[in-house]
Amino acid sequence: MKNVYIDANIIIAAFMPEDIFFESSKKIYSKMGVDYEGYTSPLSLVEIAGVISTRLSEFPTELMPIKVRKKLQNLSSEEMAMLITYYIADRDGLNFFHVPGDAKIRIRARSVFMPTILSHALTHSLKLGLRAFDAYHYATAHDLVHLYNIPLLFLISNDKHFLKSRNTIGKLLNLTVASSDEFAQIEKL
Amino acid sequence: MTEVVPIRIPKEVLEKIELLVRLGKYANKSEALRTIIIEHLEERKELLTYEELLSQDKKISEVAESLDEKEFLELCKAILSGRKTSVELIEEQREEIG
Repeated sequence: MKNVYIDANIIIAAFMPEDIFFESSKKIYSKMGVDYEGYTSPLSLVEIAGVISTRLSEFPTELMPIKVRKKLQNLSSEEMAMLITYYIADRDGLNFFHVPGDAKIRIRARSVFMPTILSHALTHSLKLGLRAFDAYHYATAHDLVHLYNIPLLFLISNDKHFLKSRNTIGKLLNLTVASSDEFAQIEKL
Repeated sequence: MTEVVPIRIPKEVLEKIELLVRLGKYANKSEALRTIIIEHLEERKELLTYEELLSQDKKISEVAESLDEKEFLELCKAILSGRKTSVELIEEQREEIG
């Protein structure tokens, strides 16, 4: 089994048949737990939940398939968003990797407490100039490789910021940064 | 409406309660315990929220079990279809903070 880091945009694309990355993302997602052990941050769950709840708030329920609408009629929009998010994220071989514990950083005389992974994201953000959420994902992949000795072969993302920094990230994490199309091509999926 | 609930509490806690009554903070032991319990539940609202979440989770699980794979996929397709790509949808979430 090959270890890969999966970005939230790959997960969501696997459920969007009209998306340009649907085919490759679906292939990748369907191979989780079969050929690949997938890792992502719990932040992906928040990102997916954010997408689903935003889309639901704009979505006229009349457009839902009638049979499905009937089954969902007693759910609030929050519950519906939770149902869909959990369905999308529930996949054998997809691991939501969490670095346990809290960390303390010093800002002059003040102590600031935060989840350990956030303190690592802060360090990477300062060092690599990554945006907040990108730094969080990067920190998760970094800790998998360097703290937990789980070597990753690929970081798969269609995010332009990750793809733009692919050489730097690739060298630091000793892996290949690839889009879903590139990964599917390299792995002959 | 009130109900009588027999409880066992450590001796040292009871001594503190009795002290508070003697100091006039509460009229009697019953009132002290009642107030402390009410205030604790008020301060620790998350305890009830957690219970609510669990019952919500059960409700969601029941609906999830009634949906088959095809229906789930149709639902995802309906909700996620639109002009925005998967990358743009996630990017929107990241741009809020990032």
